[in-house]
Amino acid sequence: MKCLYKNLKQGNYWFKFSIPLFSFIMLFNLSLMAQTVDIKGVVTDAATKESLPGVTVKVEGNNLVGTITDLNGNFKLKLNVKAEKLAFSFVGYVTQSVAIAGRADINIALEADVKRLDEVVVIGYGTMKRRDLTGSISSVSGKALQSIPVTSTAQAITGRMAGVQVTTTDGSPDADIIIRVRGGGSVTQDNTPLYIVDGFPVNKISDIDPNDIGSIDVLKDASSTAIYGARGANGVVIITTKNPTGGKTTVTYNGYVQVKTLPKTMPVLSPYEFAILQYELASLKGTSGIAGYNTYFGSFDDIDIYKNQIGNDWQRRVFGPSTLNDALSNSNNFSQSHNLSIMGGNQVTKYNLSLTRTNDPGLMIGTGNARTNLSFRLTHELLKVLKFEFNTRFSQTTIDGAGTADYTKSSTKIRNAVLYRPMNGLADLIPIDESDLSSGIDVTSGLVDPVILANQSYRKQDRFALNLNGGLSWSIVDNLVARTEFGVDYHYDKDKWFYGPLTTTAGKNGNLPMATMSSTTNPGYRWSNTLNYTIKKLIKNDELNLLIGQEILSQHSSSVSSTARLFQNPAIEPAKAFALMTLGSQEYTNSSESQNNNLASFFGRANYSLAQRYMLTMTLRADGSTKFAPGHQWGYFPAAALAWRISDEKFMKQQSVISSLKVRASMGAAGNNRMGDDMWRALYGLSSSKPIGFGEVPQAYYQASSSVLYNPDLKWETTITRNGGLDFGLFKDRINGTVDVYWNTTQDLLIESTIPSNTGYSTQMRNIGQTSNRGVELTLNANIINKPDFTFGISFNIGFNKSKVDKLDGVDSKPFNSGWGSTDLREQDDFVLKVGQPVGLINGYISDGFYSVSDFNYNATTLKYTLKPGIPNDANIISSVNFGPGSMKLKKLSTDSSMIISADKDRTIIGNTNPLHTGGVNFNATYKGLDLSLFFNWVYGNKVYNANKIDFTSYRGVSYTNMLGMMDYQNRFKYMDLNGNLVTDPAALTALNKDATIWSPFMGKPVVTSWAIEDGSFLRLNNVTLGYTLPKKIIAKVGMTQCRFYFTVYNAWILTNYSGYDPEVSTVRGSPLTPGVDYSAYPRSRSYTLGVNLSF
Amino acid sequence: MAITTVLFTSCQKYLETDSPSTFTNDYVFSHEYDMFNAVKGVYALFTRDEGYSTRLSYYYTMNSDVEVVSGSSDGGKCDIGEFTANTANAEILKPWNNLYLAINRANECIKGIKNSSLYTTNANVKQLYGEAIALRAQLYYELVRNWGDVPFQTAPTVAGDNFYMPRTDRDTILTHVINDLIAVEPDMYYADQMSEGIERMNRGFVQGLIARLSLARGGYALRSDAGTVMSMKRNETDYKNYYQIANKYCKMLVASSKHKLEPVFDNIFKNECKFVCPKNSDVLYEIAFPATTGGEVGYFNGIKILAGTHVYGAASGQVTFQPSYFYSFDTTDTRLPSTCALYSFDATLKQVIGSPAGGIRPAKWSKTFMSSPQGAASTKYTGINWPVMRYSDVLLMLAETENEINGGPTDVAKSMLTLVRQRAFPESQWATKVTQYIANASTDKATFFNAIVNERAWEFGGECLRKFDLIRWNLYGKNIAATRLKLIQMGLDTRLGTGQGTYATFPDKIYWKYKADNVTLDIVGLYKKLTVAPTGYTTANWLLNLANADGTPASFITNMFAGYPDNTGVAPVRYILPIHQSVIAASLGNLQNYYNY
Repeated sequence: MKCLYKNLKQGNYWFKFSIPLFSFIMLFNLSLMAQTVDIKGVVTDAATKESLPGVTVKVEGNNLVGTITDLNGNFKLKLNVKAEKLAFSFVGYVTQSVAIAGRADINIALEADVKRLDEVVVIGYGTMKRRDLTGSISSVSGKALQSIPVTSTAQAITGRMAGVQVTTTDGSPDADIIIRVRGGGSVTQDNTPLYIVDGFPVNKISDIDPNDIGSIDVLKDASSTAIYGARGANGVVIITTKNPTGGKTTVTYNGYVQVKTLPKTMPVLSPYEFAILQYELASLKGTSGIAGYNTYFGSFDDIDIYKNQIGNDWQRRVFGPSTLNDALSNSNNFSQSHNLSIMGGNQVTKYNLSLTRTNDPGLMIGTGNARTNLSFRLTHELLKVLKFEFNTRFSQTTIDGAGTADYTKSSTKIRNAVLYRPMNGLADLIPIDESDLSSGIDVTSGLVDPVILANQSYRKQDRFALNLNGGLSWSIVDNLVARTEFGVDYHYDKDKWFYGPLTTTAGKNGNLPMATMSSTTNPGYRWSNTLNYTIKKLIKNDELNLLIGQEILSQHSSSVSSTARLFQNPAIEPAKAFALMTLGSQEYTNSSESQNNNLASFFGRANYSLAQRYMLTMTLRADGSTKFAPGHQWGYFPAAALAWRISDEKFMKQQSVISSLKVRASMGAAGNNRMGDDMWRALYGLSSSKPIGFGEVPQAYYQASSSVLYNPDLKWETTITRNGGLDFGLFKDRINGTVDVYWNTTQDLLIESTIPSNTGYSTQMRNIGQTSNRGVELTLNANIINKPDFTFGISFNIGFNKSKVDKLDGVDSKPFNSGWGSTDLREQDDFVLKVGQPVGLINGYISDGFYSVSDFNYNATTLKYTLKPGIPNDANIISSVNFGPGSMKLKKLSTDSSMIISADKDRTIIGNTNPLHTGGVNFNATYKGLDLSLFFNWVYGNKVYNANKIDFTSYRGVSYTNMLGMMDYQNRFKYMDLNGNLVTDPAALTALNKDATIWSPFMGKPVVTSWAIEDGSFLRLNNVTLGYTLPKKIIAKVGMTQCRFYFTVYNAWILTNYSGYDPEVSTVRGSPLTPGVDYSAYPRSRSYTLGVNLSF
Repeated sequence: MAITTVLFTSCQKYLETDSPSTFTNDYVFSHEYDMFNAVKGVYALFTRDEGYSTRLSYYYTMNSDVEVVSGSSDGGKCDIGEFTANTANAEILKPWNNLYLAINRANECIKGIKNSSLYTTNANVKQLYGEAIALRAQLYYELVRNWGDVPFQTAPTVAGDNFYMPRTDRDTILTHVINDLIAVEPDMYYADQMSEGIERMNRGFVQGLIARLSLARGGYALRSDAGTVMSMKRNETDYKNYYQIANKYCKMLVASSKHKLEPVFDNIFKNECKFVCPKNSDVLYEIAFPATTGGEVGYFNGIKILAGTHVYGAASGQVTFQPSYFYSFDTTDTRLPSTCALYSFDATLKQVIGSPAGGIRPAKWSKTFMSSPQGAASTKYTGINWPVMRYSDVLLMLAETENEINGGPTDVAKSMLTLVRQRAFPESQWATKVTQYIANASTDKATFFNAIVNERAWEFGGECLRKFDLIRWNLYGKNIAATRLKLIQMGLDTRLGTGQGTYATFPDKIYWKYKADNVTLDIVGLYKKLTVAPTGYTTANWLLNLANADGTPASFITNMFAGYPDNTGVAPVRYILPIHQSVIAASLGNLQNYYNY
């Protein structure tokens, strides 16, 4: 009052003016209060009879008056006496409207909404009820994600959606995820779907916290993807973060601890077997070989000393514990995740804040992944007609370790742990003077202690991502909404590699450490404006919804990297080296700036429905992109779809079995512009790779900015999709499902088309060729039992896809190299692309076991075996140390007179890496407070190219390395008896090898044969979860609304014939054309998780 | 209307963006420094594996009576050396592509520099232009000598071109590039006029290159008539003109006095191993490999080293010498110890005796000579430069052309040979090994020519010039047939030990011990067969290794010329490489393989 007085005295005009206004509002309020009634009540679940907190209670027709039920489902409202009806709404329940009719107590039971068809689906620049959909969209709701903890977004989708194949490339905490929607049409370009997170396109989804996800919708056919025009050809994955629902403030905590084990190791030779193998090889090499053996392993007469020795299990030592007990014994093995979120607000302002910290130490020594996510989302009604939204996501991820799959850069390879000798020979048994003995062995074998090496292959990645989005919606008049959205996206990634003295990289630099650090910045922004108009009853009982919009999107990339070699102190710590790069040699700092990758778009969509039974959607989008030359920048992508809800027809009302039935048909075009920048014009760039060294100084130089010849005529690649679908529900939708049939054709493929290399280029980017994908998808959900205390449901999905290359650039087949064995591999073009065939065919020799003694003539004088005439001769292919009986035998395929096996005539397609079908099945059951979920997924009918197996069984030009157990003395073809004598006599050699099952490993080069192409089919119990939710009555006493404990085992069980670590693997990803190669993949772990979900 | 226009213009502008990290053609060729960077882009391709690190320098220059690559039937380099390569050979695709990539870069430089306003006024820019021309000439020389007639591209590739080019006759190509070189030669700098010296293509080298290419143009080459019938031919109508051109440019270089022979033969190569590049000495041009990313001189080509804890790291030593080559040397020739190493280094850097069947290696280069060794785990990419041409080559080409043009050795010819031999022998031997030797060799054209043939073998052993010398002389078939027979006989005579045959007095075994330093080998019995091991010496099998126990030739001999079974030496050697099947496929019918591939 003092203040008021002061203000009055000073003649504050604003204050003077405000007093009458204030008084007016007070009066108005008083007048309202004078005519109110109090209403209270309890809202419960119709099935469980439990109270429902958080239910929105509103006066119908007046959004400003309302409340939310408390923890016990109670609500209280003061209402204008004139109010007639109350509306009760809650996520997952059917909204009910109740007439007040003068009552003061209104208790109500809400029916759970089992009609999945009524769920809201995100369709791009809007949402739609599933019942009104005309296109093909698969969804996973946040609710489904909540019950099982996932450490990544991709894990959340794996196996859950028909037609969406998710392959985690290997088991590392930072593994790349390959998502393919209906096969993917592009041959040489990236087939990754477009990821949209809250409207913003992003490159990867690994930095999104699964706790924040509200829903994931995958748009599969062109009628739904065409709204994303140029970028929709490979499908669109839309991730929507949790939308704040407002109401009383709730605090949620989700947390878990996890341990991991390595479920499988590859058996290797024991110390004794290893010694025998070494002696056999040494004997074949002659005197010098034996001398080498004696130095390291002693006399052969004493070989028995190795019989009782237990070998070092390097796989376990490098890749972690094998049993749960082992895993639990060390606290360093524990992963943790903590998520805290606060949600609340009132009718006007709603917010949601979520903070997550996840720490995953990784299975392999020296690896790990720690992530902090912060997200905030706010909606605010500025005016009744003006709504404001803001959301931001920040993530910071630290990834430790070089992993194993990037074997071109990382020294740590799976092969090191498998092949490193299981024992040190004499050095293990007696003290030996020569201290460098074992390092001599290391040099000869080309391998060093895998534990030490893993610690010296240091890599640390720091990734920061910030995304800010603001939106404003204005209801100009009834049914006309204008919306503008603006967002910025900023990524900053730091990548540090340090190569300790024992790494091969340091080896090239005088065994002195080397450090490389690089940073990449990717800023981007997006601005979209839409206008949405709905007209009802144009004719009668119909509705038209129109959307027009415009969007611009700009992305940029810049990077800086620097390298320092020759740190003179080999023991320098990585952190020191990075902090003091100047201690090393002076090198170039490399930097690069991309062009601004801009996209300008205009789009429109019309939805028309007649009598709620006949629906039509038409879409058109025009995109202009900086990837193309002026004149070719714009692409136009139309689509149309029809749907008929048969179940709503009168003639369907007679029966009670089919509760819903809808048929859909759609056709449309979507585009793809994913290729390098400036492919349409000739430019120069700077390079310092493989430079000339005037004065021993590497000279940076100019070269064409791309190794692919430019082409000014480039235009968009276009995918035409045709989709037919059927959505059905039986027995009041207790059983419901979807069947989709599709046929996608991708035309004007952006192909690096082969041109004669006398131009200086081997390829030119052209729009040429065609591929197609055909398939069937089925999704089924059954709520078999639905009782208050007991529920049981199954959901099932399966997808069949057949891909085909229809046309190429004038040739019928093209070879491709997976590159796993580098130039060591005998035939490097191990994949082939053929017209009329799918992508991913493996090209190689057919294995024919091994040569028997009887395949040869023996000359007792020279002690030499010569191949009999008419027997195929592969000596030149396998380059064996000792070509003769027991050498790997290959099938002769050509019918010409020469029996010499040749690379050009005797290879064929030995495997197809495409599955026949993939799918998943989920069993859910609840009994009182208990819940149980089992989720299986499978891939069937694909081949995996087990390059590890080839590598680990061929003794190429090195000594003292171990092999897979299948090459033990019993199994392999051997030339030496157990007394250490070489056997050459044919009869004796035959007798010695009468039980041999595999060839002798002493071959010069690894060869790709049908033997290493294995069935990759698997059925995996992806996860099993058992949860217990405490009764609400008990927890309410401590102010809680939910308290659930759960235990989950991931990768709990797998059924497969695959002999490697895990059939779900694809490590060589230089291009999408060489899938399914298992080489040096980080083994997939099995994890055990104990977690809790709490709400207050 | 106005709004639409504004919208449209701003939209167009929004879709026109440039990256600051790229340059246009106009920018690159508007400044001397940037032009140099573009020319370095051509040089850079020399350092690749498929350039001169191994493929062009070694894989394609084996096997002959001098160098031979060890191993057999590998689908790669050994098949090439043995003339058994097929169209899927793993080592014929990347070098082909790399050569044409380099040619296209050179074409861009040639066009860009020529069109620049600086071209007429700036001497440095003229030097760069000359370099681009010389680089292209060298690249085409590699193409035609390895593949014969090939597509001939003289302008940079642009998007709308017809990419499908047929083969052009190799004579046309060589004539074209020789004329190019003749045109730019006067405007180029000698090595001592540039800070990078002999690491850049310079006037002295270009004079030598004109001579080398002219001798290739005027020499013999394998021709395939109707695609299948093969014969060695030269252009009889004009070949002598090219000897004249070669003669002229060799003389020009000698007259310039810009280069003189390094007095100590061994130093030429020791300098390379120590990264020393004298500008007025023996080497006219060498490929400037940077350590750790290029060059296998001292690794693939050099004394073999086993890796151990020593600082030098491994050397594979895959270029080896024929034992008959070792025995062709005069024992007093100082080039012998610098050229042939009979030993390799073990993991403790002790010398270990090799076998004559693939164990004699070039001693000119070794990682152990390096002043900055690369470490125990180092392997290839030594950074040691590869000499493309030396001054003694020019001297011997001058002697050869004098002899050819004048129908016998002139005084100039004799004095050139004298210079080379005087450096090779100690002064005490000059009377017999130089004066007398040359007098004996100068009786007629054929004898003198033969002396040149031999001298080039001794002077350039390990430098991998032999194969293409023999080809242009049409001596390849004859020479390798003779070498094979000689080796078979050596093996037979020494293995059976019956005292029969031409090589009965040659050593079947040799004897060695370590010198006082306990590292260096002391070998006896190399030239005289001993029947008993001298006291304190260890016995090692020597020439008997060339035969199996039953007297049949060792696989080393039967493999090395497997694709040339003719022992008379009359048949032409199919040394021309097949064009890789994927290149044939990509040509859509415009290229075929001849020579029965």
